[in-house]
Formats: sequence, structure tokens, C-alpha cells
Amino acid sequence: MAPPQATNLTATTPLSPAELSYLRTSLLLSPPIRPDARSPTTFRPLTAELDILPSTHGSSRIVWPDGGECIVGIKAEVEKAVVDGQNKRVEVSVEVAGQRDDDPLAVFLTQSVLDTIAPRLGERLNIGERWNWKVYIDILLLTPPISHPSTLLSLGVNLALRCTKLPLLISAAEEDPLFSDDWDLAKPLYPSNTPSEVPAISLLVASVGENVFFDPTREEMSVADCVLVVSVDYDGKVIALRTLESGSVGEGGVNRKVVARIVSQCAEVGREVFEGLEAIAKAG
Amino acid sequence: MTSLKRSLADSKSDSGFASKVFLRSTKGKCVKVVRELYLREDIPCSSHLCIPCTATAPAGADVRPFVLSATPAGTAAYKNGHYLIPDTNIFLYCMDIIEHKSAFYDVVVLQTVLEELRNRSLPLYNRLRGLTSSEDKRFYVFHNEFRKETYVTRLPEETINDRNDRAVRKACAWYKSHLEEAVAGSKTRLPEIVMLTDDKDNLAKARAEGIACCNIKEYVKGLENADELLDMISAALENQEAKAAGGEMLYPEYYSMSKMNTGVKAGTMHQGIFNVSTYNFLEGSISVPSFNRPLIILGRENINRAVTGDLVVVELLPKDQWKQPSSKIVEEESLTKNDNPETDQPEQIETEQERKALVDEAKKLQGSNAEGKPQPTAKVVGVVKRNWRYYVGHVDPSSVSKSKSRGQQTVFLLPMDKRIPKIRIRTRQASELMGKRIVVAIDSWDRTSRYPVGHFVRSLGELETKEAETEALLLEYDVQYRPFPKAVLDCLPSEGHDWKVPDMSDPRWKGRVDYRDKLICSIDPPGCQDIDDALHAAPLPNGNYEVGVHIADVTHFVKPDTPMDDEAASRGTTVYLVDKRIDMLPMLLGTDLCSLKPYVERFAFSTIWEITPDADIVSVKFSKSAIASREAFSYEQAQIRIDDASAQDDLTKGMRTLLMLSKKLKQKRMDAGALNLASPEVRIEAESETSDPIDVKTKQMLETNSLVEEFMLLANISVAGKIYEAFPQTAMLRRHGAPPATNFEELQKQLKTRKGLSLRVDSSKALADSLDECVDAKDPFFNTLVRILATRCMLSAEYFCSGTQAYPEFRHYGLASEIYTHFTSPIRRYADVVAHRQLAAAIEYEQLHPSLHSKSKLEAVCKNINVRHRNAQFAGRASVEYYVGQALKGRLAQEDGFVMKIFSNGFVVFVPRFGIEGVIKVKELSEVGSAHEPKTEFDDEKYTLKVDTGKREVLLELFEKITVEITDSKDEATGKRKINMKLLM
Repeated sequence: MAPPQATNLTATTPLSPAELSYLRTSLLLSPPIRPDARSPTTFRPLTAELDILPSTHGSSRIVWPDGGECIVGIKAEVEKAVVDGQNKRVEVSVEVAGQRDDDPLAVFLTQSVLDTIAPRLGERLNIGERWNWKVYIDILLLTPPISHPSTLLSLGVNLALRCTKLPLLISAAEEDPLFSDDWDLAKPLYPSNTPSEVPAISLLVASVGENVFFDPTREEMSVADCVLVVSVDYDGKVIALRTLESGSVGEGGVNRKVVARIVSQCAEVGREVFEGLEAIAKAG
Repeated sequence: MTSLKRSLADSKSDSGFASKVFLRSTKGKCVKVVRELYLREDIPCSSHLCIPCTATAPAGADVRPFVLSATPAGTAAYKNGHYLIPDTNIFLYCMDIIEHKSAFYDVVVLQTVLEELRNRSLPLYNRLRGLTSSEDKRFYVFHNEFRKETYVTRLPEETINDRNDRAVRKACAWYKSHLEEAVAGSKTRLPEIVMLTDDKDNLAKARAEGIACCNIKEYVKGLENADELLDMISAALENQEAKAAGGEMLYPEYYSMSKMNTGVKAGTMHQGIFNVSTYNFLEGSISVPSFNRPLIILGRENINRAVTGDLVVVELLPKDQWKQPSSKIVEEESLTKNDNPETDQPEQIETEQERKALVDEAKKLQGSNAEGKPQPTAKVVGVVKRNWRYYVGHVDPSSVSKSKSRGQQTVFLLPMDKRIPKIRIRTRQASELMGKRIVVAIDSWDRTSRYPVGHFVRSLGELETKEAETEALLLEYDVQYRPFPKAVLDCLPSEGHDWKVPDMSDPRWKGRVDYRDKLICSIDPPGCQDIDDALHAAPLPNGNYEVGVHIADVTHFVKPDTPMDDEAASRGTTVYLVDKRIDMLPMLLGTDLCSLKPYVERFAFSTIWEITPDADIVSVKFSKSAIASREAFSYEQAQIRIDDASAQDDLTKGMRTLLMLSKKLKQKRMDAGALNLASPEVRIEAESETSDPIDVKTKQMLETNSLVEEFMLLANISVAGKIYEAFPQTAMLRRHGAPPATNFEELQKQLKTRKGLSLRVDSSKALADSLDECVDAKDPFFNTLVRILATRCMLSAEYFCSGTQAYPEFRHYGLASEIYTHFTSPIRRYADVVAHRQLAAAIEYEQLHPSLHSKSKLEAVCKNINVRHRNAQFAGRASVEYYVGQALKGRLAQEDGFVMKIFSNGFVVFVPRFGIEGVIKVKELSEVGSAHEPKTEFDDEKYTLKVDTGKREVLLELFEKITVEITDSKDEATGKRKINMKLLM
């Protein structure tokens, strides 16, 4: 497992010990009571738009109810194929408004998106034998996030990739690539008739005692025993798992059974999220 | 949450915005481009009829007055007058007609059409721009892409061409409705808006939409001099489908652009400029970077429609198909005499005759000649860029059908340049065009047609008249000979011929030195009016000499960034023909204000050296100055003056000093390895009245020639050093690359085999020394011949910008100098003007103009002047050849000649007296009548040709001196005058 990432989010929750203890107790109940009365697997409502940047090959914008806003832009360039270069075909950059480039949060987010998306995406980018596309994913977190932005980002990237189109190739396979100049003829990167081949997403999960909560708020994260970022694909397979710093209220440590339950629940919740994204993508 | 998304296709049509998205792919990269447009409603239609537009037109300094006339001309079809709106294809193929003075006025050029034209052909775009800025043609550029009412969005799945056609139709419809509104209520007659296009689809749609339209042929038929104009329509517009159905024998198809690019990058194909051999029109060669010898391309099919000068891509043939370069002389005229110009029947691409011509039938003795081994041969698989220009030639009379004299027929045009193939043109004026020199342009060369197709542009006049021939020559070598336009003449000083060197108090004296007291004189060819240079020498108290070279101060009058400077930069050099001189600068400057005439004061740029009596340079100083030349001598006059013992004045003493020093300088140069190469210079003596040539003499070299030459070289070398020191990245210099040893292989072998002489080429000194040793005791001219042949193995010298080469490459091989430039003739060479400006900045006389700091601008200038210099040389030589031909008219001369080149079916003779080369074919040696084909034995190892003339056997050897009888004759069939040489045995 990856070492826990220190973020400056969880460190500065302005709650007093009494409030923290109250919150933790209410989350330890069964059934648990979340401060905003959500069920453990309900996500907060989000708004999304696709194709907002005309000069990119694909783009999306996601707005979280607590004000967090994320814009993702995808551009693609042609490059000569390098031997064993399949992993290097995707480049991700994350810019968090107001923070430096080497801020640990930005670095963590970049790496997590790369791990989640890159391997499968690389295979779709061939043009003939000697050329391939290189995809640049640029993510802008417009407002400094209040809660951890990794789910937000991952959903944004997923949507942007789904509406990305690549120019239509009109030259023959062994020649240097030549493309049609009509943008309307461009083909989508993820064709809509194969819903199971979509990019993976990352879900933020917190556990308090035996209870597992999806889409935790900052306060919930600060009282949790364990906070994980789990990347799942459409089939429910877990691609990556990262630990975030958990709260300091409990005794520390988490039961192995709880972790197992987190992972298995991720598959179901993941599937629901995918269906939701599908609906957004279809609506345009 | 407010949406950030702006819908691209704006639903509200009057929002004033439009945007389009497309992909641009270049060289394998693909970029998505989004363009947003702000659409306006106030772009005027520019017709004098339209008052609303006058009211709403944007006010401002750069808004032009309205162009389109209120009463435009009418034609038979459009009696009320008409405005024309042509399509892109019309401009592409019919630019010559559109520029014609008799028709095509009041034309609306749409922005869509203009931009498409620019992408397809930049030269045609420039010509159209010229037309739009000329006031009398009344062409108006209407920006239909910016005007709201005429903006057209691309429909899904619509091609760009269809969209553009739709834009043209919409603009026509708008013009019609707009003008109708404008003249509504008044009695003025409304001109018809006519769309001109040749696209059948477009015409059909336009008619359906109610737009008046017509194709170019019908339109031109309705004009006054329809015949002449119809001829000028490009043949490329004609329907190609009919022709394609015919012939089975086709040229191979070209590869696609992407396939050629991939091939060249991978190294399986090669790209280069295609050149046709001067002796064999079926053989071409191409220099490519991967091979050190040029690749050969043999035969029409392999040449595959490439024309000399085109940038082509070739593919190597397999090794078993490699051939030797042809050792026969093959001329297109004789071989294809019987070809039919009409194209109704399918043609064979390669005839039996041609195939035979390529196979060498002469007996050859065995040998391991490197020339004898097959060399890499290739075939042309595609053309990257055509370099077609206007070609001058005359109509082949044998291709003109007498019966169809009034109707349209296809005839052949024989270009002046032997390397260009015959061109098919369709004309109605065939009978009028016979016997005239005409200018044509090539339009296209299909797979199905043996010859390229072109169209008539204009006629220059009768063959053999001086005007027509001179103009033909100048056109062939792309020399700009029109008179200077008004803008250039406006740059001349207002005092004109009364200009004088001003008083010392005048600000123009700033930085200048007064050398008017020095005893300066100039030495030039007789009758020279543009005197660039003057010299002086005077003894110094310390025993050394002060020597000065003064050059005309042209840059005082020609400032950068003026029309006169632009025109001079474009001309590049003065062109000297036998009887005419095409000046680079207006005569006022060249022959008066800049010229260092005697007895008047002039501005100059001076180089002063302190030189020891042994011709070593102690110091050099450059300065702008004013001088007063005391005398202007011709070479002969100067020589006489120096040799005259009674002349003891200071000026003559100075000249003697100069002569003494020049001899020492020359010796030093020879010791360093400078080459003394002879070029066959002839002088034509012409009758003064008519300038008809009387006699041809070879030029004599006097000591005074050498005097001037040495000091000019010295000045050039000194200036080169100075400007390089001041501007190491951007100095204008001249280099002469060392020729590769392979260039000399042929000549070395010939000399070794024939005369047992060896030619060493490892350095210029070695070459110079071994050239001195190449003498034949029996014949003094042999040495000159060898020098002439050696010159042809050299590379050309070229101008270059110092930042583009490393220092060792600055070397001038021929002059054996490390660094060199041209400085001494600014009146007739643009390179010298640039060098002057740079030197003036180097001595801090004035600031360097920003355009001379830019390496890329200077590189462009260098490229142009290199081309112009070469063309000027060719034009000058061609002029001499023509005059020699004229001088021989009706006369018979018997002269000595030397065999310069030997083939299996003929040989080339060089006649030193006239400085001309001629070909004698084996067939002509027959002494028993023209039916007898002499048997030949060609030994390409020993360079001999044995010919059985029917009466005896003649042995011809390379470098042998022979006697030839030279006559001129007019070929009855073609009307061309040729020089004939006959071997006297």
C-alpha cells in the first residue's frame, strides 16, 4: 500500500475536540447518522458540463456543492512511436488554484490520475505501426477545495475523456499520417456503443469503526479511522488503492475486515456512479 | 450554476458572431483550430450606383473611394452593363486574359476566392493583387466572409469546395438584391451581376437559384477580340475526360504526396532538381544528397513528364537496369519531326526511334573505364514542385495545318531553350503566328499526352529581328527590362544633372575626407560611361607608396527601404548585351552622378593603403570622400601613356608606380596558387549606325587590364576583412568552393590518354602549376583550350552571408584568397551596394540599417543576386552567340577548330576565333551523298572516332586541331538561323 499522503486539508479542520467526539459517536452508530443526513453510499449532488472548451479535443467541468470547481481539458498530438513507450502516451498536469506546482496535493492528484487512466488509455492511441497519439490531460481546480478533490477530479477526467474526439485518419496505414480537416468527422476516443470500456474512476471512502462512508466531507474525514482512495473500473476490478491521512480521534488502526468491505462495496457503488456518468454523457 | 458553455453555432443569427472549427494537419501533426468572426453590416459594395453604402461605409483614413463604375461596359449578352464575379478556377487558369487591356473591367473579387487563390498559387495571387491596386481596371476586393449577409456556414458533411461555391453564389445573390434596393425608384439601369465559373455543378446550381452566370468560353466569345482572347485560355481548363478514355500507353502515375514524403524520409526515394542534358534531350540527371555522382534518368517513360528545373522525387531502378550516360547526341527536333500535334488518336509514349537512339550501336572496345561501368539510374515517381515559367519559342511550321488556317487548331511550339520539350498549344491565329517569336506558358502535362499542353501569352515580333530576338533573350533569362517606374525615378535627387559636390559647410560633408587634390585617374573599356572605380598612387616620404582605390559612392544616393533600392535589389545586376545595357540603377546615377567622370568632382568611397615597394601592405584606411578625377583612360590609351617615355608628369609617374606594384601583386597571387583561367571572350565590331555586326574579334589582354584587376582584387579582399570583423554574422561575402576531384576525372583521363599530360588537382596551386605545364609545342592554343575545359569543371562562385558558413568555407578557390567580397562595382552589382553599406557602418560613418542586420533577409538577397548574376551571364553569352550568327550571315569562313568532345555519332568543335561551339554529326561527314550512313568505330577509352565517309577513313581525335568551314543557314522548315560547321578534310 502506498504510504499515507499528508495533505493540508485534514490538518486544519476547525472543530473543537468536543465537536469531533460528537461527530465520531454519531458516525459509529448503526445505522450511522451523517451530519447532512445522507445514507452511507449517497454522493452529494454535482453539476457537470461537457465540451466547454472549443479549442480542446475534449473538456468537462464539474461543480461540487461546496463550491469546488474543476475544469479538465484534453488535447492530443501526433508523435512517432517509441519502442516500449506505451506508458508514456499520457501526460497529466494538475493545477490547484493558489498552490505551488510541487504542492503535495497536486503531485498526489497527478499521480493518481495517471495510475488510474494511463495503462488502458495507452492501447487506444495507435495510429498505424509507426505513430501514435499523445494525450495531454490538463486539470484545473478553480477554487481551493474544501473537501478532498480526488473524486471530483476523477469524475471530471472520466467525462472529459468520454467526450474527446480524435481527428479522422485519411492516409493509408504505412504512410505518414494525414487527417481530414473536418472536425465533425472526428471519431470519439471512447465510442458510445461500448459502455463497458470506459475509463476508471477513483472513489474517496472513509471508515469509522465498522461503518463505511462514501464521499466523506472534511469533517467526516477528520474523525475517520481510515480514508482510502479506491480506483475501480466498470467491471468492479480495483485498479489502485491509496491511503490518505486519517483523523486522530479514534484509537488508530483499522480492522482488516473493514478494508475488505470497503473494497467490495466500491464495486457496487462504482457501478452506480458509472451509470450516472453515462446519463450525463448522453445528455451532453 | 451558470453555464460556461458557449454554443459554437449561435442560434440567434443576428448576434454578429460566427465561429468555425477545423483541423489543420501539417507534416504529420494535427492541430484543432477554432476561429471566431465578428460579422459586420457596413462593408460597402463599392459601386458608384449605391448611395446607402456611401452613407453607412466606415469613416476613416484608409477607406478607399468606391471603385465599381456606375455605367459598366456591356456585352452582347448583358446589354445593360455588368459586374463580374469570377470563381477561383477562372483566376487560376485565365489570369493572362484577365490582365488583358481590352476586357475584364468592374470585377468584384470575393475574399473567399482571393484566399483560395493565395493558397493555391502565390505568384497568381500577387498578380491579382497588382490588378486590384491598379486604378484603371476597377477591381474591388469584397470581404464577403466578414459581411453578415454573405457569410456562409459549412453544412455538415459539406466539402470545403462546395461551401466556397455556395459562398460565391450567396454573394452574387446579395449583390443583386442590394443593388436593386439601392436603385429602386430611380431610372438608372441596373447592371447585371454575372458569376463566372467553369464548374458545371456550380453553374447548374446558380441557374436554379436565379443567378446570372456563364462559363469563361461563352463569356469571351461575346467580347470584341474573341479570337485572341480565346487562345489565351489555359488548355488545362479543357475537359480531360475525353482524352483519358483514349490512349492505352500512359505515363506511369505519380505517387501520392504522403508516399513520397515517407519514401524520402526513409531513404528509399530521393528528391532533387531535375536537369536535362544539353546534348541528349532523352537523358536527364538529378543531384541528390545521398550519392556523390548525379543519378541518370534515361528515356521518356522514366523522365515521366518532368521538365528541367522541376523539384522531383526519384526512385532507383534495380541494379540490372543501370545504364551508362549516353555517348550520343540526340536532338528532339530531328527525332520527333513527324509527330502529330493533334491528340485525337491515342499516342505511344516512347517510339521505336527513340528506343533505338538510346541503344549505342557503335562498336566499342572493351575496357574497365569507370565511365564505361553502368551508373546508378533512376526513374521519376512524382513532382513536388513545378518550376514552370514563361517560355519563348516559335511555332513549328510543319505542325501548322494549312487547311484549317482560320479555325482553331493545335500546333507545336519549339522553345528557344533546347532542354524544354515541345509544347502543344491551341490557337486560332496559327497563320499569323508563323515566323514570329512568341511567349507561352505551360499549363499541365497529363499521363495520356506525350507533350505538355500550354497556352499563348503574347507575341514578341518577327523572328530574326533585333527587337524580337533581344526581348526573347531577356525573357528567357528573366531579366527585368521594363523602364523604371515613376516611384523609382522619384527617389532621384531633384537637382538632376546639375547636382554638384556641395560646399565644405554642407552637412553632407560630415565624416567625409577631401581627396580632391590627389592625382586620380580611371582606366576602363573604351566607350565606358558608368565609371565605378578610379586609382591613384603617390610616393611617401618614408619610401613607401600611398595607393588609393576610389569607388563611386552609390549608397549616398540609394538609401535602403526606398523603391529605387527595392528595384535594384530585385534586378541584382546590370545586364550587358552586345548592343544594349539593362541598367540596375537609373541612368542619371549610373552614368552621371555616381560615375567618377573626369574633370568633375564626385563623391566616392576610398580605400587607401600604405604599400612598400615590394608590394607588402603596411596599413589600410577606409573613408568616404570626395575626389576629382583628372583623366578617364581606356586600356589602350593608358598603356600608350605609360609606355610614352616623354610623359614625365606626376599623374603618369603614379600610373607607372601602379603598374609596377600590380605586377608584384600578381606574382604574389600566382605564388599563392591563384588560377589564371581563360574564357573565350570575343568582341563584336559593329557598324556605328545600324549596329549591324561587321566583324568578330577576340579580346586582347593588355598590361593595364591586369593593373586595374589587381587593385580591384586587393580592395575587395581588404573590405571583406573589414566588414567580416565588424559583422561576423551578417557580412555580404563571396566564396568559390574548391571543386571536388571527381569533377576533373574525365578531363584528367582525356589529357593522360591523348597527350600523356597529368593534371594535378589537390590544391589550387597544384592545378595552376599543372595547367601551366599542359602545353603542346606544336600548338599554342592547346593550353588555352585546356584552361577553358578546366573552367567548366569548377563550381560557380556565389555570394553568401557570413553567418551561414564556417570560416574555412569563405575561401575563394580561384583567387586563392581566404576571404573575398564584391565592393568595387556598386553601379552595376547589388552585392557591392550591400558591402558599401556594411563598410560605412563598420567605419562608423553611419548606422547600419536594420534590414542589413537580419540574417534571413540577407540570405534572401544573396539567393536572388546569385540567380540574377548567373542569368545575366547566360543572357550576355546568348547575345554574343546571336550576333556572331548575324555577323556570319551570308559569309563563309574557314577557321581552325579543336575537337572538344567526342560522341559515338558526332563531335563538338570549338572555334577560338569566334568563341563558339558547334556540333558536327557523323551523318554529315558522308562524301557520297546523304543517303549513305557512314560506318563508325568509337573508342571511348582512347577518345577516337573512326569514320568511313564512303571515300576514305577519317580519324578524329580529342583535342585535335582541325579546319572547319563555317556557314550560316536558315532552316526552311523552322525558319531558324543556325551556324553550320563542316569538316574540311
